[in-house]
Amino acid sequence: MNKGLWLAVAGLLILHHDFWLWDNDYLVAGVLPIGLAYHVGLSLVITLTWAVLTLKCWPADLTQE
Amino acid sequence: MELLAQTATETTVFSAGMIRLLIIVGYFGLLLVLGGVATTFLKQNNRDYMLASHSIGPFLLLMSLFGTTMTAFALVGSSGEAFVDGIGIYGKLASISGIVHSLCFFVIGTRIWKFGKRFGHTTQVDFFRDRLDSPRMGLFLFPVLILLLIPYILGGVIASGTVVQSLTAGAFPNWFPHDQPALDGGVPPYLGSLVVCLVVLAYVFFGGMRGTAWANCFQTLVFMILGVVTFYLIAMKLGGGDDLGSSMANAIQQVPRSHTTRQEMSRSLFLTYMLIPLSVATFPHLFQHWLTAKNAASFKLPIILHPFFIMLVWLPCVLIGVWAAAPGVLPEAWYQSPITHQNKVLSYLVTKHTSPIVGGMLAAGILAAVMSSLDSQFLCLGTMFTQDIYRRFIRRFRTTHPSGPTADHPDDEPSVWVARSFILAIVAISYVLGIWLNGSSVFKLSIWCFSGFAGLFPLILAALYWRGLSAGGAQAAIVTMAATWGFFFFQSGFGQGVVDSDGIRRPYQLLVPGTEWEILPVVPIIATTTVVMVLVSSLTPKPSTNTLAKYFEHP
Repeated sequence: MNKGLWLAVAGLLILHHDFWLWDNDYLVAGVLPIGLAYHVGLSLVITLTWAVLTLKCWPADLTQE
Repeated sequence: MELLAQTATETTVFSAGMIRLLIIVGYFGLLLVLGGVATTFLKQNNRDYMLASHSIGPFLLLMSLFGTTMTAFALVGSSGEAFVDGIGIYGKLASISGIVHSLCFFVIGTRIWKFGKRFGHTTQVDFFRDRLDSPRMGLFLFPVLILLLIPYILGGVIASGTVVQSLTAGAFPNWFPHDQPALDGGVPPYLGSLVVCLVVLAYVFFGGMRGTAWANCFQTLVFMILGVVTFYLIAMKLGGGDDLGSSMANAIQQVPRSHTTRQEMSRSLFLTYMLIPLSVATFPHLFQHWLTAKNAASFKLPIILHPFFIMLVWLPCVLIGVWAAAPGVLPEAWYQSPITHQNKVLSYLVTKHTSPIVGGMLAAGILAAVMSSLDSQFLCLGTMFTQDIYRRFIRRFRTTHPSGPTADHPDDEPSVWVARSFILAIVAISYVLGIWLNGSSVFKLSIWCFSGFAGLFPLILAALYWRGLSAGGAQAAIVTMAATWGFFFFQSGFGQGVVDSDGIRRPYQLLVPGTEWEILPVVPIIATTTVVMVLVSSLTPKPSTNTLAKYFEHP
């Protein structure tokens, strides 16, 4: 399995554990608690990451199927 | 629409609850028509009924995979849990699922599809039996999968009954009185759940996998679109601003700090929630959906867009639940015992803050999310029983036993009615349990079910990527998973939590020995299953060289 795939997934998992925002109650744009806004932003990053991974790391044997 | 509802209220011909009920009934009718149309495309063979002849393209695969994984849990459970615990639920399950679900589709789903199409697998038992040269795998795996599917189905049954009752309140005040005004006159859960189960059963029975995939796609579109509409309407009403932004700003102002931060959430527990989404790798109904794909490239769209779709559905629901934590949004009694009332938060706000017609459509949207998972689960129950038990053991017995088929009874094809009878039996058991456990948290019930399936993750991963896995190791892993899961489930009061020294019921969690770190039971379940699988595999015979050559092209 492609190393790039696992490195990207490991990076996303590290970003997911945002312990530095645990007690922060700042409201982004006055509407979204920052702990929630961060994870919504992360969801978009995850989507983009999977788009890149399916382009760059798609297994060769599956291309033939 | 406001005028229609107002007119209806004034004339008292139709109450608001009755209007919502009629719209729900109309939606059910639409689904039945869809199932009927799918029947006309159904080829008369089992492969088409169970796998739609491997014909599902990227868009339909995306919608059916997403609709199947997003259950009552995603709408009713997430908003209820956000009402109880605040924003943390989004990170605990939504964003992490975006990473882990797509990873499972990528590294597990595509491989399962490849081998399934090449070697003709229909169920997980088919795959493991072939991969491990073990004809008896079904005896180990089948009962465990059924055992774990029941709580999953239960979540849907409970949520559908709760939603229908809340949203039809006022429809039948004389027939169904209730001591809570918010539920008075609503269709009771035993009736609402029953009708939902019957509608799903009908289109699954007639339409098979093709009907289920179409219904899934349709229902996923319905609940995604109506979810956004619900969010907008509730935000405007709760916030009372001139536009969406100012309304959202107003709605969040009165929410307690405990709900806009994660200050009361255990960090170690948050970390261990990462393991829960691994369950999608072993859901039998998802396994079946993977096998419907037309080609490997069909998986790309679901892998990319699944995390984005999760965000579209979860963010509005979590925000609505968080806003509901502000004083005065819900009935006062609900703040005293939030866990008891959390399943009703979304439907209560829909009822209170939208017109009956819009409310009825939104009710249909919530039920769509519930039904788009129930249908796949029902279909997969029938498929597994037909493939793994009936064909393998019962029909074989009949063909060899003196009382088996003779010239007078030549028809020995697996009877569809046998599969349907099994589905009916499991649905009936789930229905009765669902009525009995009606006050239970959909969220907590689902977490237990997901924990069990996640416990099987090491097994599916090893089967695809480790040549050293043996049939003995796999069987030992299944037994270990079932034993550890059963032990913890029993300890937790069958998922209901434990009563502490103050007499308060709390969620069941474990502590890492010698520390204050809380963890989910899924951690020891996965750990012990993995250790046992590796140990027993190292001591027992491996599959034949020919079998290994089929699954591992590079030695």
